[in-house]
Amino acid sequence: MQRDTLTNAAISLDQIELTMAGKTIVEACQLQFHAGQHCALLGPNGAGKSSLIRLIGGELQAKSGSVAIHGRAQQDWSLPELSRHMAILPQRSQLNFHFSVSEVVGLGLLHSTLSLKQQRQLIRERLQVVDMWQLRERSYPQLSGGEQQRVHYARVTAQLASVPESKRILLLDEATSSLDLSHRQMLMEDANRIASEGGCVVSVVHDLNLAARYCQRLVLLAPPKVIADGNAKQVLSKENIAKAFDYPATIIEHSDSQQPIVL
Amino acid sequence: MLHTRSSLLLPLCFALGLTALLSLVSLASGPVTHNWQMLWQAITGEQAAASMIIWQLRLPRMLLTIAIGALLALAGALMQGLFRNPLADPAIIGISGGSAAGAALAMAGLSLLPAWPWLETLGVPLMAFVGGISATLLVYRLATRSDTGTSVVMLLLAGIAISAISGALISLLSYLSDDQTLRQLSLWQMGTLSRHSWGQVQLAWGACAVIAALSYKHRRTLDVLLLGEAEARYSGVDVQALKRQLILCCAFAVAIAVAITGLIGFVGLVVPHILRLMLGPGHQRLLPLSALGGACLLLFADLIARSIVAPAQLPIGVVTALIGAPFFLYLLLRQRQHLS
Repeated sequence: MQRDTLTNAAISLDQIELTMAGKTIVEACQLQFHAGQHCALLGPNGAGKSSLIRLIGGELQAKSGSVAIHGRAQQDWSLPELSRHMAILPQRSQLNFHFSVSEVVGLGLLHSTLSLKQQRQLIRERLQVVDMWQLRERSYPQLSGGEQQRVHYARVTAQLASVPESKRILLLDEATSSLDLSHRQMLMEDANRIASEGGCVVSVVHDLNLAARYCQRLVLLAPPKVIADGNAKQVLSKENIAKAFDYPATIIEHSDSQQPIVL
Repeated sequence: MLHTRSSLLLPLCFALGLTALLSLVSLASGPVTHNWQMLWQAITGEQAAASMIIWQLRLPRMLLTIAIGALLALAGALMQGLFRNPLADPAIIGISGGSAAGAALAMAGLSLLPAWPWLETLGVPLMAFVGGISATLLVYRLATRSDTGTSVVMLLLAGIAISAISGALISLLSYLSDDQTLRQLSLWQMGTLSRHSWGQVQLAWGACAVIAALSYKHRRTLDVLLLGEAEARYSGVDVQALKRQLILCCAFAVAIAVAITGLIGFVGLVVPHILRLMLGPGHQRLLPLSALGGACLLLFADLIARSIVAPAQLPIGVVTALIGAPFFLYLLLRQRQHLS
């Protein structure tokens, strides 16, 4: 049974212990992220959310425990193969060279198996989704922060286009942090589309209400443990929020969706 | 728009044409005569003296200039990609400093030994090479840790420190050496294209071919690396292996260049920078055009060096510094306006 869930999960974290500068930030972490689901990773600053993303991406090493992607140990994947299955959008980008917007999206296609014509179509489609197609010739460093974030979202989602929908894994680390209201909805809706097509999407989100609205599953971290895991109603309780954020929240219910709203 | 969508072909043809033109002018110019008739006579073999001058003096010098210019510009383009900073130059990670220190050691050491001509011609370039490679490896070791990888900031700081040590060593050797060695040391530091043999020409072209092929192979990964190391890894690039290869490539290129011609600065900074402004940062176009652009710039600088005080010659490094240093200042000023 345990074996079965391990191989079915898109991402499987087994007994992860993560330390940074000698401090334990995640302990005995047992988490699985499944295909077809958009999961939110919540928690206070420094709870290890970004570190978990970097661990899954192979940039950080766990002190103990193992990470498996589609049932295969993380370190057994070749980097090109892994990049076609899993794309990660970090919080910040260091890019300061004058690539055009469409060239930046093209950087996600380094190991793409699509034909050049398909790649051009894909770049166009992704840029239209994030509302940047009309700025495709613009120089990247001249864009605003929100526009840059949308270009990178287009890039990482294009990276996944070579594999079937059910094999795609998308990790977003505060992808919506500098987006305006309408683009925030647009991005979350596109991420939900990827999940509904069978992909596995994990988002680090600070806006609890955004998570409640768009994510089918919420995982709440309070260092060094996961303290709640389930749907919005189960996770966003007064007690959980007090425990994780040390903040006396008021929870009300949205009149239409019956989803909790944290005030 | 600063960078256009034009293909590689048009700028490549233009650069090839410019290189060919400058090469011919370079062959035709010199302290003896400046004319095309002599070039023609040399090629057809009508006049023995002209033939000798062209084939034995000007042709190897021209070929050496092309190869060294291309090597320096390629090394610059690679370093700027590696550091994700358009101001990076091979000199900053200590390769040039290490090479110069090695050469200075050899010159000072040789002045104490009995004069063996072969030791002189081989020893100095070899030590420059050894010095350059060891400086690079030392900088790389200092800046790299197995868990976090290479820190670019540490690499830069270590490069500065190594350059300072090399500079101090050269000063000390200059202070201790006799008049003749002192003169040799200063000439070396100014850069010179006038000590050329066919062997050196072959060495430079061989190195140039190796570096050009290796870097062109990595043209797309180099683009992705500009996103940052973590994102390059997520995009499927083995960042540590790539960085190792790039650093060795640059160390090799610059050490060969310094070993043969001494210190010629700013070619690696100026050429890729101008090309990036004209064609955008994509390495597919940047790398081949940098090689040709470096060749053109050095051919041009060499023409100036040979003609401005003819029949005497200026050291080539002085000319490139006079062209390059103001350009570097201009870039710094521009960046400052960008930042503030």
